[in-house]
Amino acid sequence: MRELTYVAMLVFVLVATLPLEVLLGIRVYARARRFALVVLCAGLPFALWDVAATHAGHWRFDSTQTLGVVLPGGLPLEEWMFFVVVPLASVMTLEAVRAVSGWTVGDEPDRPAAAGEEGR
Amino acid sequence: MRYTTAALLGVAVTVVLDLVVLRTRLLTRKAFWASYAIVVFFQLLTNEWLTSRGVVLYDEAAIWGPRIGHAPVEDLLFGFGLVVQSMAWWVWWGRRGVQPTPGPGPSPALRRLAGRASGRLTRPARRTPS
Repeated sequence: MRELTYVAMLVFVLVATLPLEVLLGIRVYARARRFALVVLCAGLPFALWDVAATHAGHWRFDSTQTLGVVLPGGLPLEEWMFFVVVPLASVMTLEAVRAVSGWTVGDEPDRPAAAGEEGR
Repeated sequence: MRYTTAALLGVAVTVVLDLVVLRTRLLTRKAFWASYAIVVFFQLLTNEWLTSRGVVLYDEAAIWGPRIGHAPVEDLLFGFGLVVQSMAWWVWWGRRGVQPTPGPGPSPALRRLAGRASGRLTRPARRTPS
């Protein structure tokens, strides 16, 4: 069980956010291409920071609490997945807040500003 | 470079990216701060899981010292950067026309099911009749 410690946290985040896709219809999973670009533009740079920091000795991972798969850069599989799961949860939360509140996030097509919005 | 320096630099780069480079200006939006309040709660929760169990171990020489629970405060800054940049790039690519609004999508059946289950909770379709 100990080797599941890290992956359990990732699964928790995925399970906790999945209802947003289904119940609120935020359609982030359905826009996989756009999300893949987020992983490339935001997740990857932070993953590279992680690789550099690990090599510099800022932090290290307890391999007995990971699945034991080490990917390029010397990071455990879970640590690489972190940079997919966290951007996913972030984007899903933003879309869920938009769906519930009606507030703008900045990618709305141009149209007369609705009442209660603070412009762009 | 210590983690502290890197984390502060990360925040600065993130702010410039959002406000100047991408001009997504998420940091000026209510929707962002409401989202961040939710995300940061879960970040503290999940990071405590990892740090209290020692899944991630920090070099004391690389960090400033103060911790939130078991996590060095720098983790909060690292997380802030990752979260803001993820959201900013999502908005930016949407603006550029990459899957900007929900399209027909792969799972209309799921959607109908959700619609039945949750009734008016489900947001009305954004598509306008043409």
